[in-house]
Amino acid sequence: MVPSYPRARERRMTPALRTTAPALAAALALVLTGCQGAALSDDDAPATGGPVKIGVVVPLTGPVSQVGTALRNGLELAVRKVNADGGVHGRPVEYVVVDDAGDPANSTQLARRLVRQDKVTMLFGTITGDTAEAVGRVADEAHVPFGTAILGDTEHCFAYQWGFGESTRQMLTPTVPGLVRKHGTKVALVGSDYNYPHFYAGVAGELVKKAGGTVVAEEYSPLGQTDWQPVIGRLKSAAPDTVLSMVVGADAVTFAKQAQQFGLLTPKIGFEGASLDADFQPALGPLVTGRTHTVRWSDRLDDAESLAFVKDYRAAHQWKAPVPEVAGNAYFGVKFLLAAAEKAGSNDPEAVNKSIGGLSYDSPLGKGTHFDAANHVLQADMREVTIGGDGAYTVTRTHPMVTDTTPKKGCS
Amino acid sequence: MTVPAASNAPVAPAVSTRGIRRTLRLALPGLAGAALLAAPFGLDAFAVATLTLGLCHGLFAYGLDLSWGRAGLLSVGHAAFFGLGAYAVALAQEHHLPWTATVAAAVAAAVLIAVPVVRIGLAAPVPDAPLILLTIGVGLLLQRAATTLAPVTGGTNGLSVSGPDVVTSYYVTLGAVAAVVGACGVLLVRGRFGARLVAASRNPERAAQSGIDTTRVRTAAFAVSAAVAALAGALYAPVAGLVSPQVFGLGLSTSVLIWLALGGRESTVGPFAGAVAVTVGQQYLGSTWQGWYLLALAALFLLVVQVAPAGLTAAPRRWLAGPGPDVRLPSASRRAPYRTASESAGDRLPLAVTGIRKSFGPVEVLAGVDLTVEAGRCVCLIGPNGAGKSTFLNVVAGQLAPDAGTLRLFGADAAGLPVHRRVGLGVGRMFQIPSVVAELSPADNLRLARIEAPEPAEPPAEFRDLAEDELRPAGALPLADRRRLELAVVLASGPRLLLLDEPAAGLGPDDARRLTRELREVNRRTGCALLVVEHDMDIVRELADEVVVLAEGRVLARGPLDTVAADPAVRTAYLGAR
Amino acid sequence: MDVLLAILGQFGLYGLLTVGIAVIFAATRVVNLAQGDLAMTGAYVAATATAAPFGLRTLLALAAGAPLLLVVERLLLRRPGSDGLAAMLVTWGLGMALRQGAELLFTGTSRTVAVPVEGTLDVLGTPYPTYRLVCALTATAVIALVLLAAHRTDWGLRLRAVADNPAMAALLGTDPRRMRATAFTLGGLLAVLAGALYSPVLAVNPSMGFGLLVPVFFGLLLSRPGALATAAGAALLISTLSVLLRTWLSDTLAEALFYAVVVAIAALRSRPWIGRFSAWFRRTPAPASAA
Repeated sequence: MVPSYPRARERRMTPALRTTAPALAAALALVLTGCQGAALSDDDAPATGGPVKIGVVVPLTGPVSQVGTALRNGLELAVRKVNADGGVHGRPVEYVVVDDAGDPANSTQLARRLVRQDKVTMLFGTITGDTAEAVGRVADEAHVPFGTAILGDTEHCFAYQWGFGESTRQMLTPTVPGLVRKHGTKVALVGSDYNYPHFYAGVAGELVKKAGGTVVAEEYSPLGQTDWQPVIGRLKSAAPDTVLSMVVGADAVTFAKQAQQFGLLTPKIGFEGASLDADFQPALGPLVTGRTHTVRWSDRLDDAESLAFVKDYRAAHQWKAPVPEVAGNAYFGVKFLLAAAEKAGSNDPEAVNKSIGGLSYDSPLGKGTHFDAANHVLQADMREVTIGGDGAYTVTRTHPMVTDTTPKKGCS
Repeated sequence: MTVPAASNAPVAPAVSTRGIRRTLRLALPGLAGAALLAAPFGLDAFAVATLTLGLCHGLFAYGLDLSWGRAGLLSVGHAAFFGLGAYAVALAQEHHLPWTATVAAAVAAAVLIAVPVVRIGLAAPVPDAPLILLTIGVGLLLQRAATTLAPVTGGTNGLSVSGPDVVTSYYVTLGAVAAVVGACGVLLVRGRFGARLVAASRNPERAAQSGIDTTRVRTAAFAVSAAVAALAGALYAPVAGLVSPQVFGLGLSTSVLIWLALGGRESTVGPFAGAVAVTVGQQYLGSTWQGWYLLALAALFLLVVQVAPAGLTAAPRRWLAGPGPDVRLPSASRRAPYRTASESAGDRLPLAVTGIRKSFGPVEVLAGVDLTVEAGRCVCLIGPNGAGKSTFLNVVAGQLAPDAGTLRLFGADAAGLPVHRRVGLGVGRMFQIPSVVAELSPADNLRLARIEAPEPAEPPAEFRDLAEDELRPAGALPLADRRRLELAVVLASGPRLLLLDEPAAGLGPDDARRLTRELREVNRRTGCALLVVEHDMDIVRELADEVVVLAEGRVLARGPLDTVAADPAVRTAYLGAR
Repeated sequence: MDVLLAILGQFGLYGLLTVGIAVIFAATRVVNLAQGDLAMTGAYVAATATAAPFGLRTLLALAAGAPLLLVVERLLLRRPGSDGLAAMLVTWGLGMALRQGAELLFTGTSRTVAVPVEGTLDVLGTPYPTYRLVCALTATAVIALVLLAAHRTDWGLRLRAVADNPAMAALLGTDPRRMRATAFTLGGLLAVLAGALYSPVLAVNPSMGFGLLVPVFFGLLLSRPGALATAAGAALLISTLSVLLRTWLSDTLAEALFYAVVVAIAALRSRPWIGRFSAWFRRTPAPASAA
């Protein structure tokens, strides 16, 4: 129904225009045959004898489509790698990608379709918190494991949901004391006005206090803000030594740029947060050069597996910019999940889910990475990277096994 | 009373086509219903789930159609109402409240928000701008509230909703609700309410002059539209599985406009067809075409607006409806109207005003007018330009409220009465530019007038040709015929006092003479009093029992034309000499 | 001073867009819902043609925008032109196509444009980024020019005549078609200019124009059709309101309050007594009712 390796359709470049018409025709044919084929049986259990199937729900259109595409790219390469190495318990791995356009209503529908119609063994993907929540609930109801690769914490913990991105504590625990020591004790928090930045600020405040600093300002602005002057003015009047920012998406760029123009962000002042992500480096350039950032995975890691992945990624997508962290998280996350499936020795989603919870797995993300049962956060290494003028995120320090065991409700 | 039967209309080109049309008109809804009923058996689970979502969107679009399509009130923030319904279900589940109560509360809240919004909109001369602004504003406000009140609403992550099995049983529930709402809607718009709405949305001025309370009719339509949207939202919550502040957003509000514009307005099928098509397309093609799907949708949308501005279902619907103008009165309302007992005007004085004043800003247009019109008399109002004649007529008809003075119509104090109530008292009105519902056929225009008339009158024989003209829209008639149609429409409601503003303006001398004769005839036959603003002295001479001269906002002189014309004060006023 | 500068900066952006949309509305009775997306187009020209100096890029954006707008007017807006609502839907579709086209061409990732004039300037004791000031002053100057043109030139007279009464203007020898084409192009170009000018201040991405639409739309609805000065005034009001609220309150509260105030203004404006009040200010009797 769906080929194992749908040709990665390149959305970045204009040459794609040339191949569009045949691709569209092929896609249409694919969809039509797909619709016909799936009509008959309606039991939820995946065929245990067949290939291992992953359902991928990502936004490929809309404001976060870039991140979604990166996640899908990472996943594709992981599946290709696993298949080249002989598949999972002798069977090939397949995946089905669906585009939810960042709308949770779509995510629910599509996740249900993947579970019921495509009978996937596991789900993977989603970028924004609301879509993650939507798919998480479907996965929980259907008892199908669901992996995410985006950083940050999801609001709810589900028994079937596993996060491969770094949790907020894992991000901030190694960072905050250093910032306070280096720049000073006064910390300002700023974020886009939605759930996650508020949560981030809560954790940050706690850690700042622990490190002996004080939070001197806390500001939120609605998503899509184009004029940051009032916020920057208020931040500036608090005279912070460090700014921790969870202003996300396009706003991360607008905020950082305007903060620099208004003289809030000088090289002397510490700055950490979403604006320093590799996605925004091409846009912000000199503004972030020389700063350090804490990540789970960077494309400058020099272990063989990461190097091979980065090489493949660059080759497959003619990629020049830094490879997004989410792609790496997805790559190693999917490998983790498939290793769990291998260990379970079956395609049965419940068995795989059980296996995920108990697996300890060595990868570039850390030695013996595993999930904490209390919060389903992957216990793994964190890295301090320094951003170079050429856009390189060079690893300058490794924090081995940064744990986060703060319990969350609903994990079991 | 007999209404001209359909067979009186010009014979249709071929009887067989008409037969086919009639069969199809009956068969198609049945077929569509059967197909929808059969869907769960023939389609796979995901297709049914997609169809469920499509129907849900369809119901939303159908709700919007009641306001945008039927009432002509564009709402760009209809997702506000949709979101209320969706959150009602989500909140009920989250906080363990009975969902019936919360959904009822949401529907009530939608109506409570909709009514002031539309009232404010309709209070403006052109309701579009304030209405668009208010609906967007309300939607954004609710979205902000849902984002900020995180402890209750879950903030941006929203609230999860787990419902019954979405694939089979829920499809049936949704289908049933959609069918019930659709059926109620059809009953509503096919009846007198629908007929009123057609007139009120197309020509509020004429509708009010036909005795329709346009504000009330359109407000009701908008409120029902908001309620249906809230209901659709409530049904949507379990299908979506998660309700987040996005449901209030501009994205959804504009999507629903697109579904409706693609499907076709003022139809029951159109909104559902448009919404289902786009939703199903999104689910099946969206993942593969990705960005190209949206681009293709935008292109398709542009194409449809250019080529078939009435929507994709408009052409087949038009064909099914047979020859005639695009807009018709709903068939059910065409039947003979029932009559309400009317208060007899008797011999009471049709019009008596004293001390009427009206200023626009610093300009005093009417400076204390005293005037009476006796039953059966024909009074002509003349005066130089700017004397306030039209303003006075507008005050009498109810378009303008006087600043001071008393106004009695048939003995009743009418100063504060809205236009349609004055019509109920027996006032008819003809405008300077003939005002008929241009989109309806002349026959439908007359039907509409009779539906609302307190004492419907058979149109006189000389208007027979208009009463039987079913095939062209009234807007296509030549000016003289439109003038005659307006007269016929006004007479159909059996007025006792007829207000006319330069009835012969723009007519050739022959048509003007014919019209004057007809007016005189009406006056003689029905005993209806006339108050006519007129410049043409030939017409005044033929028509007037009495002439009133208005100058600088006051009555200057009154009496037979020759006496008045000889009055030196009048001569001064006209010639400007002192 | 800070606040005044912030208002000025915001007004430059909103003013250009609002006056642009008002010019289009005056001549065509079409609310151009693609206005924000046209600004996005301008910003992308400034962001991609980095070989040329910034000023040249802005001119390039205008030069590229003009034929595009003319073609759009000719191809898409001629037919449904008589029906304002249909034409509004066309502009909506156009905006959607522009957004989607930009996403396919440039991806959804934000870009930035290097600030052409570095440094900060001391304005009466308040340091302010030089480029922001340059940009706001340029925008204000352009707005002033457009207003001047509308009130002092032949073209402006005709535009106002068409806005007041299209049929009458046609009788007096104004070719309404040409008027519509020029007005649409000019109004659109103002948006393109706004996008290009403000691109160094904003993050350039396909959906950037969408967020601008709401305040601009509010501005248009609060102004009087055909009176461009009221459009500029409405933009000033909107910017002032938004900046003041955001200076005093947290952004979240300010945004909610902003919508509430705009809704309240709209509600009040349509009350008859306000109408009478403003009519008194205009000192013109309502034309339809005074014979």
